[in-house]
Amino acid sequence: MDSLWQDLIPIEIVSEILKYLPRNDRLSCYFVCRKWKEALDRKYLWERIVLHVDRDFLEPSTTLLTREYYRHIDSLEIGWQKPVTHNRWLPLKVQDLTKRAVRYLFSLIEHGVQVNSLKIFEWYDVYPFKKIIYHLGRFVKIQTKLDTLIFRNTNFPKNECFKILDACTLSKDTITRLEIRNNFYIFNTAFDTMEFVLYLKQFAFLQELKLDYFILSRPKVIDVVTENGKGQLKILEIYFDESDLHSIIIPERKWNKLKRLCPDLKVSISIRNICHYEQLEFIFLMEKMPLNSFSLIASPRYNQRFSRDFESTLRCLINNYHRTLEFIRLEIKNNRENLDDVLLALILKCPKLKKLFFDGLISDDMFLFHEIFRYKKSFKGLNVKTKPHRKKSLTNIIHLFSIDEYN
Amino acid sequence: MPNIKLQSSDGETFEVDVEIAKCSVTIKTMLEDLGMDDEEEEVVPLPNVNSAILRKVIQWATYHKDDPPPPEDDDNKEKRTDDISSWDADFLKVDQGTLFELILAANYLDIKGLLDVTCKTVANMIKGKAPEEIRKTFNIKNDFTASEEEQVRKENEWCEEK
Repeated sequence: MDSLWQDLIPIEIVSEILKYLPRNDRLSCYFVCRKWKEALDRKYLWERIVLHVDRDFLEPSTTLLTREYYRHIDSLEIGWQKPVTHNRWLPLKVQDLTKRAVRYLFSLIEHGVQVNSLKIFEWYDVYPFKKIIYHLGRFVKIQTKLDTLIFRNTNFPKNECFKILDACTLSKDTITRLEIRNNFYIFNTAFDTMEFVLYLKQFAFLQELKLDYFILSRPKVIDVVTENGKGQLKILEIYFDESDLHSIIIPERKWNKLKRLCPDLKVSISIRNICHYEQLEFIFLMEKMPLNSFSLIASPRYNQRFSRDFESTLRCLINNYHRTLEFIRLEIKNNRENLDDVLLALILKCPKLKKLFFDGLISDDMFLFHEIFRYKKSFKGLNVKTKPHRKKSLTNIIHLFSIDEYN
Repeated sequence: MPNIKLQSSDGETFEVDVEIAKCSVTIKTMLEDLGMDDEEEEVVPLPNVNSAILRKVIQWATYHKDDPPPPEDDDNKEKRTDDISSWDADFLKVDQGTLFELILAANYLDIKGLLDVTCKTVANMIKGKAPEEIRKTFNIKNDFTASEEEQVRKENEWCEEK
């Protein structure tokens, strides 16, 4: 009798099932029968490889399967599940883990694997593993069509970080997207150096740049971004958090120059964990920023001694950026102020506004939504979610609403 | 709401709300291509689905008729299999043969949500098992030749550092 899962099942459905399995289970399936083995040979199962050094080199599946399907890989992400510190217990000796990771990178280099996108994430105390970074650098060195390079919480010691940037010799002209974001910058002086500026300078064809404000506000960085872009820079995403509270502001003339040289540029800013107007004020001093998208996610805890004064924040948005704003996201949850009027003003005074997402309290929803639609007939939809709110401060419901422009 | 009639491979006819039937992309395109009028008493033949399975599929589609459209496949997320709703989990407590037929029907009728949840269920049955256990679970014969087997065994050796 024919077996259902071997003879009768269409091979594409086997692939569809394998899609949901992690690599160690895929390795078991590889050994089950010919058909299942063949079903594994699909690009969409391997084009994006996420590697956690402290997980994926403890068992053989990643290494073995990569040897088999390396030609499908388009994007590689390499990092750690948990930050490694000196005292953290590892299930393997540092040198054994290093050896396995290095061997893996070696086989990628040997096969000449070319990726579009490389992301390096969650590297903390990397000194014991610097050999891995060295070989990662060798892997980067052979890349000729890298398009996206991402560093997320890559707290390499100064020189190690630059080794990766330095290795982009063959792909410096193909990289159009660069992202460098970290959670903290204590002791981090790497971005203050001329070296960093020079490495940034080599990427002359950037279209998208995502940086923490900390980095963007370092000396010369914005100048390089401006002069380097050759007008191609289209998206500049800037991330603010607590560590930026005492940062220097980027002067007006620099913003003006950036706008002049990159006429298509859209700036988006994302703010996390700071919400008092007093803390945000310095951002709004940069009036000339061509702000396209604004996102504020307030932390649930805040200093009770201050008023959070979202109203002033929103007024600043209207006054400074109403010409350019298209997307606004406000997650402020339990505001005590009545923001109805200022929200309405925001919607009416920003002619380009396409999307507004608001998670917070509204005192008179009927009035607000009625007014919005009276003036903004182009808005296609309004999604409103209500949920009971424990503190009955303004009203007993929280409104989560988003509006979209009809297009 | 207008109804349409779906006919299973064994000749049984089911009357279903058009909107529910349209969660199947196959039926939806069929209706659009044929320009079927609501007036006419057309019967849509589904020669690949038997009545027992079609009944289950309709039951599933009826329960999920108000679901928001599934999000675009985001390849940036690791695929999860632990997000099966309890209703679906109960619905899929069936024998392997039925599960298999449901997958084929979801695939033929092009119902993404049903295909996803059935494939996830099978994936969950595979998770954590060794090759031999998987073969046993799904009644699969090892069809590798002896030399392939040998090669496979060699590859499987997580050869420690030489």
